[in-house]
This record gives sequence, structure tokens and C-alpha cells, in this order.
Amino acid sequence: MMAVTVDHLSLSYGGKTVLHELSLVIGREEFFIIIGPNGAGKSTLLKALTATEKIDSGSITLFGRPLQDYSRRELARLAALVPQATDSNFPFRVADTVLMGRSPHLGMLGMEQEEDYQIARQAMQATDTSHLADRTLNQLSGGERQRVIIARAICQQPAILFLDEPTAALDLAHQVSIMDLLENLRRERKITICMISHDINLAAMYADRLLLIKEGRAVVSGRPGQVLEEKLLEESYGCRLLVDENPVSGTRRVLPLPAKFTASPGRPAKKEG
Amino acid sequence: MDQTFTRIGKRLTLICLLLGLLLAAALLLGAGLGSSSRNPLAVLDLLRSLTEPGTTGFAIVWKIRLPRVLLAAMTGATLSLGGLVFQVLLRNPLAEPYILGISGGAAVGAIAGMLLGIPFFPGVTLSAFAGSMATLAIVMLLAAGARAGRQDSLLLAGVMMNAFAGAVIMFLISMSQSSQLHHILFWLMGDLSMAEAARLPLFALILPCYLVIFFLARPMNVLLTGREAAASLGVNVRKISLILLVTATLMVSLVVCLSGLVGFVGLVVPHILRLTIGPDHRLLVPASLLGGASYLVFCDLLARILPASGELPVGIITAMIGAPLFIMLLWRAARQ
Repeated sequence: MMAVTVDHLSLSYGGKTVLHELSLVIGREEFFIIIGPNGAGKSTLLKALTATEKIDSGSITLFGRPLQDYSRRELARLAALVPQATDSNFPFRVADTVLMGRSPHLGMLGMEQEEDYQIARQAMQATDTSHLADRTLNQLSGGERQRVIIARAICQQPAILFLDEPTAALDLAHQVSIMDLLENLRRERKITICMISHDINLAAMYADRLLLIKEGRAVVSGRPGQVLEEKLLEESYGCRLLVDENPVSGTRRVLPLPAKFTASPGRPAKKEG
Repeated sequence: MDQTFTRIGKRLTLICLLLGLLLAAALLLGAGLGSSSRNPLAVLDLLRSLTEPGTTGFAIVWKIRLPRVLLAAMTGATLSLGGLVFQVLLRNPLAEPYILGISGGAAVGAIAGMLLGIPFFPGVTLSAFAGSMATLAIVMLLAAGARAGRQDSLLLAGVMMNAFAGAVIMFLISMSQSSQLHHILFWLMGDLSMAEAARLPLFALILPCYLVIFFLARPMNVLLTGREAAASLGVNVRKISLILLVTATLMVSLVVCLSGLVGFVGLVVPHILRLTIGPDHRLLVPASLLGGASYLVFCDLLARILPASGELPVGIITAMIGAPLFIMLLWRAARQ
């Protein structure tokens, strides 16, 4: 059984088609990354997958069951979301924010049991946020806040974790540490990871499979080596690129090329077939 | 046992106990003191007169002050809980029924009903509810039409609706030949002096509203993390928001019918409580009820004993406290 199966999904806002006949599958415990230029429909796809946006046609199946058959609470026990921006107008403490991940598991009045505290404590250990417990969200750096939101998501004990550009606006060290954390979660907790990334190079190093979308359509999906083809990427992103091999990881490396280096009639250096 | 997480149970008991004591003190002082007895020791006389039917003291306390103090308590509780709910729904700590124009809309509906001469219940209360729902819809449409996520567009829309409601009210009053003019004008400024024991049963409609909101306290916490995040945490955002919106608007419009326009209570009380007990609504909902009740009873006491003769509408006291706080909060938000 697949974690996610999307079949000919179409979705439009006010007459404008955002996703067009899009299909994809995500296997269990897979690290799946969606890439594509701005406005390709990546975030909309994620909203459709988390049932926060209504779809026009097609179907979405989560762990063998149609998405619309889940109640909100059932869905929240199966799939967690790390949104791109987290509002912190109201100063919740980190520990209490993480504990909110228990919401879909609690009763009407929402009183936590000892077990819930235990799960939240473990989630904070796993994300290295225990030392932040007493701080409030607005006192944290971008990287710390992202870890806290991931801890909250883990607290839901989901089978799949959706993330919307979790490394955007982070410096290099924090980008790698967030990606390493996700890699660990997948290995140790068997959580399927499905994320949107604007960073093709990070995606190439961590993903089992990539999906490249453009203008709401799936261009190609497969192993990073198959998807990160120079011609495909140049057409999708609309700029000249240098694609070569990362000597450390052996994965593809993608670099945009400024006009001043591509003015000559010959194409820039090309590597591997 | 480590103290990493906020344990609700014990804190809830403690907070209810402390604020309950505060409310008891407020009620006692509110019933014991007044323009005829400014001396705090008068409370003792009061306790004595309670056992002596037929005395003037007995009549003042049971017939005049007690209904008034109870009305103040329930008005304060409702308005501060209403403020708390709107702050969650609009994700804006400056939201408040009066500032958003919801109270003003209810007042337009209520005055229209009064001038038409329809019965107070259910006629006037229903037209007040309709007025406040209409205003709320307009404010939210205006705010959504402006650039999304801008806090000030919402407040601006509310302030304008408030001004518009004020104009409509003045228009209605000037067109009418009603003999109740003085009464209506006083009521507009927030007036508890018309407390009638006969109308207090209206609170039988308001108490279930408190209960509904209390049961939604935890989803209210989750709603504050944003619409999508809340949905992914298992909250049916649209349904919960709608229930909260209608419940809060209903209880606020009922209170407007009884007490008129009392502003800023829903801003001041939740703000102070958030500073002292944090942002968890499982604590804030009961605390707002008890704290709001105490606050308005004290404000009403000031309104009765401050003037050398006569008394002030309580809305003047709450505005004199609330408006400067609002400006301060707005200034601080702008500097961030």
C-alpha cells in the first residue's frame, strides 16, 4: 500500500486552473520532495494533500483510504503539517506549543495525561528543542522555531509529515540540520516525508524521489538522477543552468548561470549523460 | 515531576479560587456602597440590614443595588469573554466587540426595535442580534477586501462601522418623538442604572453561550497557530469559527440590549489576564468570566461614588481606562 496516491488531480481558484491532471505516488517511508518554479502550484498541491483546499476532480488516497473519508481528527493523527510561516502574535511557550500536537488525540476538554507529556518530551528531545521549553515562540530564531514546529508535528505521531519549504530563510548550517533531522525521523520513526523545496541541491542529496512540477502539471518524477536533467530543468525554470556532479555525494548539482556567462553561442560546460 | 509543561488542572483551580474571591469582594462592595453610603464600613451596616426587612437599607440593597451589581457582573463577564473570542477569531489582540463596531450594530438594531415599540423580548433582542451580525459581516468583508493579514485594516473597518452606527443611532433618535430620549441617550453611553430584576432572566440565554465557549477553549488555542496549521492539528476550522462567531455575537448583543454600549472591557480584561496567566484559553475563558465580572462591578462602583452628586454612565469609566490602553498597545505594535 502506498502512503499517498494522487490520480489526475485538478484544482482551480476563481476560474484559473492551478493544478492540472496531476498524478503522483509516494511510497511508505519515502523521502519525497516536490520542486518547481514559483507559481507552479507546489503549495496548492500541499494544501490539497492536507485537505485544506477543495479539489475539482481526480482523487487523493492516503494509506489506502480516500482523503475525503477521513474526519479532521483522524487525518491529524495520520498526517502532520509544518507550514511555511508560523504566526506568533500570541506568546505560547515552546513546551505548550509542542504539546498542542496532542490535540487530535485528546478528548473534548483536552486534558492531557501523563502519556501525552511523555510523548511531547520525547518529541522535544528528538528535535533538540528541550532547552527551549520555557521560551516563547517569538523569542526564537528561524531555525529554532522550525524545529519546534517539527516537534509539534511529531507529537501528533503521524505516519506522514508534510512540510512547506522548511529550510527557506535559514542559513546553511540550519538548512542541513533541519534536513538531517527529517532524515533521522524517517529512519528512526518510519515517518514518510513529503516536502516542498526551493533548494534543488539539498533536494538532490536527501530525496529518494523528486517530483518536478510546472504550471500545475507534473513534468517528471523519479530518482533525483532522472529528474535533474539539464534540459528539463532549463525548460521548467526558464534560465540557463549548470548541472554537474557533486564530488562528495555523487548526486547532481545545479547552478543557475548569469547571462554574462551564457552570451557566447556555445552552450556552457556540460557533464554526464 | 518536572515543570516543563503548563499543567492545567491545578492552575485552573487556583485561578478560579483567586478570581472568585475577587468577584465576591467586588459584589459585596458593589452592593454595600453607593452614593448614599461612601464609607467602606457601610458594608457592615449592609450585612446587618439584610436581616431587617422593611428598613430603607434593606430595600436599597435588595431592590436597587443587587440587581444592578448582578447586571454589572454579567455584562462584564460577557463583554470580556466576547473580546477574548474575537481576538482568537481575528488573530488580533486588539479586537473587541465595541472597537469592531459589533456593539454599535447591536445598538442600532435595539434602538430601531425600541422606537418601533416591539416588545423587549424577543423583539428588541432579536433586532439587536441582527444588527450586530450585519455589522460583523460588513467589517469582515471590508477587512478581507483590504490587503490580507493587515491588522490595521480590520480595526479601521471596525472604527468606521462604529462611527456609522453612531450616526444611524443619532438619526433614528432625532427622527423620533419618543419620550424615552433621555433614557436612550444614557443607555448609549453604557448605563447600568436601569437594571430591572425582571430582565435578569435574559441571562438564562447567555449562560449556555459561556458553556459552549468553555468547551471550545482548546480548539481556540489551536486556532491561534493559523488556519492551515489548525486544520492539520485536527480542528474543523470553519465549523468551530462559525460556532464561536455566532455564540459571541449573540451574547454580546443580548448584553447591549440590557446595558447599552460599554466599551473596551473585552480589551482590558483579556489583555491583563494574558499578561498574568499566559495565552492558554482553557485558563483564559474562566478567568475572563470571573475577571470581567469583577472589573465591571468595580467600574460601576466608581461610576456611582465618584461624582459629587448623581452618577456617571459606567461606559465613561471603562472608556477612560480602556482607550488609553488601546492606544498604548497600538503604539507598541506599530514599533515592533
